[in-house]
Amino acid sequence: MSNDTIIEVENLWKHYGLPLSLFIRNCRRRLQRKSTNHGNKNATCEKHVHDNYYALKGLSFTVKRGETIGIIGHNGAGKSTLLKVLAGVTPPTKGRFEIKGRVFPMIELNAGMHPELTGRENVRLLGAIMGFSRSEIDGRLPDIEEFCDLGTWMDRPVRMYSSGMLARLGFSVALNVRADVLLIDEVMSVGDINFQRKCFEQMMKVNNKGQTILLVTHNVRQAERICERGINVEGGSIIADGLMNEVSSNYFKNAVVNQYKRITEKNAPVIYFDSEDINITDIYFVDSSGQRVNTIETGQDCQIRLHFRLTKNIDDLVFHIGFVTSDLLRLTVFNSIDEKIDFKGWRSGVISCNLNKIPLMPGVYGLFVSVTRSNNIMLFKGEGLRYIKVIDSSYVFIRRNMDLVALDVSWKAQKED
Amino acid sequence: MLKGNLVLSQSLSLLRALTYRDITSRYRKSLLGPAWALIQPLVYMVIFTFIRGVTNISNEDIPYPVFTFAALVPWTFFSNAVIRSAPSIVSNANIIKKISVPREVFPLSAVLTSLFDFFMAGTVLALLMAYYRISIGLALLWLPVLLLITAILAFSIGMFLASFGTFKRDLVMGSTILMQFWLFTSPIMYPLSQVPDKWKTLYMMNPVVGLIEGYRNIFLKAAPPPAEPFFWSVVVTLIILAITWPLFRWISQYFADVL
Repeated sequence: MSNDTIIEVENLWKHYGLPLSLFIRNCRRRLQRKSTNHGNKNATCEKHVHDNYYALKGLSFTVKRGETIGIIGHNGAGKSTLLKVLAGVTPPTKGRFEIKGRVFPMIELNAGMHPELTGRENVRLLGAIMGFSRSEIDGRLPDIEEFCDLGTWMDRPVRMYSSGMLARLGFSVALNVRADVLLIDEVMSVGDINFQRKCFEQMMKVNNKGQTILLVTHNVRQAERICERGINVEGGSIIADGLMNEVSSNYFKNAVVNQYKRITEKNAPVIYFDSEDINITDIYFVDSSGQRVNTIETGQDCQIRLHFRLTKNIDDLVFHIGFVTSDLLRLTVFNSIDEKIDFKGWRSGVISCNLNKIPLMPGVYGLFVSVTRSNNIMLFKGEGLRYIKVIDSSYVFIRRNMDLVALDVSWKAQKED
Repeated sequence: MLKGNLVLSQSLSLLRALTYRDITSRYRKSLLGPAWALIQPLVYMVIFTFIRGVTNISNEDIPYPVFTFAALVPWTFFSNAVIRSAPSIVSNANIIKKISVPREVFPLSAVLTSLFDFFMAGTVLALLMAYYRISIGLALLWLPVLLLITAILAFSIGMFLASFGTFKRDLVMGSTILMQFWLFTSPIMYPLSQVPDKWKTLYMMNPVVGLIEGYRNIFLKAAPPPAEPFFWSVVVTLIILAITWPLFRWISQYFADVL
């Protein structure tokens, strides 16, 4: 282990539960494959690479002092398991890891709080759980009290607290820990925006002091902002390890295909409002050659076509169409109000909307559709009626962009003497 | 070495905090508060005194209420320690799943919490002894030794129930019944001298026998614990500890996996 290496993980395997069931399983396998598999005794773990029996399948990586690493991956990829093993909460089934210095797992801040005890008593309790000695806790109590700013609430039982106050209490204790390695698991998803921002700031602060941070998150965009290095874990193995931006764009690219499949299979359209007056019969994308598509490239032109049927005579229909990201962020909504189309006497029809040089980054986007009258009376509102895969294109400008929106930018440098 | 010390001091401070949490939170919302620690042995004392009215139980020339109460107070300590240890891992799941601490602190803190109750009930015992004018002697100095052995025994059995109870909850639920059974197979309602001679050796393999007789001796007879039963208590206790502790150490690694 070299000098500035702080974490070293070597061929880490993890199976949950007592090793007994593992042993039985291996015995059974060995019996079944007796004839085919002698002379290869060490391969028991490696054979499981393609099944779900192991949560971690032979991870190896090293971390240097002061690095901030974002660990990303889908649900059940093994991110949290990795953190738990590193925190020493659960032992690895095979392989080894070494961490130099004091590890602080920020896995759940309120673990062990008791509702009947007062805020101050709970601070002492949390401190003890997190590994402070009694004198250390008492020494930092004033700082903690000042940070969480709860005033007289400190002397009231915690069961009377709001969830925001609880989070504040837990976090202020966590802030006062001196650790070499911080393991953070989705802590920032709790609490309001201010609290999240506070977490951010504190993490940047501790990182500047040379602490190493391992951050597990589903929120890849958050990880992009904090971390320099990214590790993408899927199905218990590392599939990418490198600069955060590269890892995350790779992650999104891979995610697009799977996501599209998953989303269209699992998510039925969400209809918020549906009146008898209008019936949307079909909605789909068409590319520049008039072909019906569900995949487009960033920067391509395309058209959205919407077929509808009217049961009543309405002449002032306004169509609103928008894109929703897979994490339910409504990106943009555009409407046809300025077109002033007269629908008088229509029974059914098609309305198409041309999108020029679609500026969406690769990903899966859902369509948001609503139909109103010009006086804003709602006739129909729904989300996820159709999904579109946006894939990487050969356009050059995309290489300079990240995140959600691809702007068509250009740069110019001028030397001033 | 340094790391070992750090772990030890961390564990001690956690043990302290957990015990404090359990003691204070238990009584904070109750009307009688710590007086609840007395109620269990007092109720048993009343029941046993009634039963003695219809059966023939020797009292070795000691007023029966104090005779049985002197055994019930340490028994309540032991039995509560075991009953509270059994679910200690399950009920502290949120800590165990998040932070790596020596898991022994959880049953140990259950034992310490019960020790607090022992001292509460001990005051009533002292009053009762004063009322019946029972003189005490230097033998009372044996008390810390007896308490230590009782605590170790409760801790060992608690560790066993807690470790397997984490995987199959039946052991946690069965612990109350186990203690009920144990109560009547120990010389609490009756003295050891009333046990038939042919069963005595087997009877003394119950490690609680020597301890309870010991408590009774030092409280009521101003005598040290009886040699033979006490010897067996210590031996059996240490054997149980030697079995359950390594077992607990090994199984405790996997607690976080199944909680």
